[in-house]
Amino acid sequence: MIELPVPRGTTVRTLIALMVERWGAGLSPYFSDLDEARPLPHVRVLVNGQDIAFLHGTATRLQEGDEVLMLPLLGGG
Amino acid sequence: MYEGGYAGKVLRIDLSTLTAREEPLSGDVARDFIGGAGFGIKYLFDEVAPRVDPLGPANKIVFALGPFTGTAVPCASRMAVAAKSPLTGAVGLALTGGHFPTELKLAGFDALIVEGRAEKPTYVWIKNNQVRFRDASGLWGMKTTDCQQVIKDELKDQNIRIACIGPAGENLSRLACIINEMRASGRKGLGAVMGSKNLKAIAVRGTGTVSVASPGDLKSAKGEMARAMKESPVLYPAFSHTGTPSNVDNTCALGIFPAKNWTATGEFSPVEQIGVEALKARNVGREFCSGCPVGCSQLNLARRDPYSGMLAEGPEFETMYSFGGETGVDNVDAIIAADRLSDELGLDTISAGVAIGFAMELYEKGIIGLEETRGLDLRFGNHESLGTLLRWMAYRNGIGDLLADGVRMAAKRIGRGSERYAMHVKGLELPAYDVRGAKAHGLNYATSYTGADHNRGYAFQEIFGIPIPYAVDRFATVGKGKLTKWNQDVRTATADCPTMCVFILDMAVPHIARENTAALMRAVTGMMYAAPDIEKVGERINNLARAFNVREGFTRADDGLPERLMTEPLRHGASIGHLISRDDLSQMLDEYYAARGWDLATGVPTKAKLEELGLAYVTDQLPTE
Repeated sequence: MIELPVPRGTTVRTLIALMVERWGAGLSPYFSDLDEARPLPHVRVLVNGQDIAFLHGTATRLQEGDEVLMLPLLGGG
Repeated sequence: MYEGGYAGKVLRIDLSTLTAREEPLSGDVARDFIGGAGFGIKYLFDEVAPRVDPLGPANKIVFALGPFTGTAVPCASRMAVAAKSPLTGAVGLALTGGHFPTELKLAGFDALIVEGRAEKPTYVWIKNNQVRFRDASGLWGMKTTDCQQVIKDELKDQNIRIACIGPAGENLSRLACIINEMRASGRKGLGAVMGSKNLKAIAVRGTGTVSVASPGDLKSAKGEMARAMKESPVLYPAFSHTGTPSNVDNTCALGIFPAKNWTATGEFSPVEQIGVEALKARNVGREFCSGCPVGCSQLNLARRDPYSGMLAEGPEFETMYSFGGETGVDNVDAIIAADRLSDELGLDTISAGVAIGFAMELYEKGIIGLEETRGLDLRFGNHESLGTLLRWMAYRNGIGDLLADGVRMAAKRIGRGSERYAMHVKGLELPAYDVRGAKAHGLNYATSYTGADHNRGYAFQEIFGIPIPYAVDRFATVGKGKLTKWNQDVRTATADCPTMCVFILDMAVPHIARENTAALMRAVTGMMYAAPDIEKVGERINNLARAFNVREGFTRADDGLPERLMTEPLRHGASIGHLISRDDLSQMLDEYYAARGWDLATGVPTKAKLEELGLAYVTDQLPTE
């Protein structure tokens, strides 16, 4: 788990951009199409356990203490 | 009539008379049921009368392949095994992979139907069209790997493939499975059905070929499938090199990895100890089923004493749950060893692990004590108890004799309020995924025709976020009835019947599953299917299986969930606060029955629905509306 301070009202989209800026270009292929509201093709993003597809997509605004999960697409079992 | 894909023959084996005869595979049956689970359920419904003792000679076991098995279609070395389950009393269906399915198809058969009961331990030896019955007295008592090797040596052919039972099946444990190579037709006590027939093994050698209707069309259809597999963001390299255990990490993150008999989900999340990274350090290779390019079966070698040196083909994710989460054990080497031991004894790892977790909760609550456990400390997390309990279950020693028949029967015999801790539906122990955080998956557990069975209608939309046929809110209840029907029908028709690997459905072709299967069916068999026809086959089979269960006395009341899931919200993790209340379940069931065209009050398929599916002959055998 990583704690990352971000300004109040930051969206998921902005958070991802901050992560790419901080941790390098290796992350960016997983976060293409940031301007689109449709689900990201390679990563599942949840805020407090809820898929952002059922919040406001990448425009979802984060509140203090929010837990953001970013899961690679998986399968099987 | 089919023009390819099928061998065209079913082998009927009578163990009472030690005779075998071939019969032709009907074109109508092939068209309407495709193969695999379809054939299994069709033969069960038609030939196993209501109220038959599942461990008596009138039960039958069907081993059924699909039209793609043995052809150039990848990922099709799969076989369905069907019988009336001694664990649930309902349809018992399991699927296996590996090499045995292909070998049986190349021997020239689409299905085996095993009937009656041999007078003494016997194994069946099939070499192409020659069938022999051989004395298995010397094999009786053997663990499964040894049994397979001894048969190969006895018959002087190391290329023979064998499906066999271990001591658990011989001792009629209702949790017994059937093992081929190190794969399992794992659940529903099918190994006990073989044991009740004194059938130790089926050995097969097949040197034939399987023709296809249109090689040109098959090349094209295969190309489409291969492209989808290559484009999958999951299949290569991730899934092929990690296999299913990556789901430990996933479900822990989602707060749905069940722990300590479903009391500590979201709280006990041992990713570091038993997740993907822990297994990487034990990985020593991969296994490939016949004709599969993915090779997702991981070989893992336990490294720490007293387990070091134990090699498993696995553990799969479900086993990481059953021997890890469910028991509170966070020792990955102990889990590897328990997995291998279960395979050798011929025990279903899922049910065995849940039975152990059940016993652990009873012990922690003081409902059973050291006297019942013969001094064995059954606190959650005691990894040293796993091996002992598995042996006790296989050999029916001590408390193992109670657990060997599953948690429902064990709870009935123990009493003292233990029933509320028995985690099962219809007698089948719950698989992984705490469904309080994945409600369509929960509805599938409640309604699957085999009991709580993740593989009959897996809600990959909720577990993996795959938005096919649409994106799904895992916490919602509205819409889950329709979704569950879709999941069950499509999975049945595109994996269980053609006998293709479900991982291809989930990870490569979920968006074109029906179309992919239809194209392959046209190319291989020459029979004309479109995508809706494929889904219809799935619907037909789910209805026929339901009819079998209704005939056995199952009703809406049996489509339930354990009390715990309906009254105890999750207290930790990313799914905190969620449960499936009785009202939630009732509402989802109403929607599901409406989607299925079943009577809302009873859950019985209506006459209209059965006639629509070409199952009019079934209606006379069901309770009237």
